[in-house]
Amino acid sequence: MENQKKVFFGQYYFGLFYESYWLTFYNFWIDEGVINNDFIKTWTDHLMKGIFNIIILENFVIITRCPKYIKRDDIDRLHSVETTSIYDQHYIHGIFFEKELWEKVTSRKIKVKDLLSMQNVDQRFVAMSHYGFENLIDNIDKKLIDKSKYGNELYSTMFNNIEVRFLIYPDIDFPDKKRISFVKPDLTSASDAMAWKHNCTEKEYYSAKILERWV
Amino acid sequence: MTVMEYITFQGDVDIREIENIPKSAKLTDKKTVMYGEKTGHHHTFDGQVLVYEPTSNDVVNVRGEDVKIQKYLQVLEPAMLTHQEHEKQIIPKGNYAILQEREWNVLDNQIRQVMD
Repeated sequence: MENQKKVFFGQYYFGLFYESYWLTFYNFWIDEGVINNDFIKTWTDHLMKGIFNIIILENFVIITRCPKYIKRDDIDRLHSVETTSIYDQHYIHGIFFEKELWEKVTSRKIKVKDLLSMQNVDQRFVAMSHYGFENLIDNIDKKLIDKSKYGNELYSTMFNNIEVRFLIYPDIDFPDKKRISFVKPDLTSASDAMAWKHNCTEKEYYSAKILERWV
Repeated sequence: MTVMEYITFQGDVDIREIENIPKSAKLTDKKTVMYGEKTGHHHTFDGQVLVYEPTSNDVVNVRGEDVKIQKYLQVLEPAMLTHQEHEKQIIPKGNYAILQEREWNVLDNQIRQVMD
């Protein structure tokens, strides 16, 4: 397709239900014998055959069938860690994965070393996110920026050449349990980062009633 | 909206004292201020409290950012806040805004709310 010249591009949807609701209106009148239109008949025949999308190019036509289902994440990217997302394709948060790799990542059977060395940076990033950063933290190159008197630690690390910051902090109810949370990248102190997480200023954070347990 | 001095947290729930609950808030018949996304756990009060639903535009400005108010709370007498995984807390008499803990979504470079 990249080498084609003067590609004519047309796109026709037959199977998107939210766009084809109007066919039911015409179907009613066709069934009643009021409308007898070959074009409408051809159109509905295509729909009933399960054609989802037709893309007409200069030398060929791409026809796709209606998917049985489409799985997406909470911001509508193709996503499933349990089955295919669409047709026979696997996606995690909008990033395509070959089946074998998808299975290794979603079953968490991939070795940390292999995961961190994945060449496709988008795949590596969403795979790390799915794998759980807390499971990878010991293997990530990270720099301690600040530590608070309550044991909250603010770290910096690089992902895809972008600096991100995260907190490792003791759970206030179960201090032996460590939690990890990414924070806004412009935060510079562990206490201020915790305050940001809890929607308050650093001064307000230190006055929080619950922190009396730590004194 | 004026935020006051008192502030506390229970898991992903942030409780901030406020001067007044807006008249636009709608009184509910519930005592639960937040539900867990997958666990079925919930932050629920035991005691004399009134829980109000905010309008969709209700925010409190914190650190120059507008933070969505999840619920309003009127504690008539000191009341116990409970949760299946967190320690109980006594919340004193007063008016409160319930906010949700947040974190940075590194995949999208934006803020998202934490659900426990």
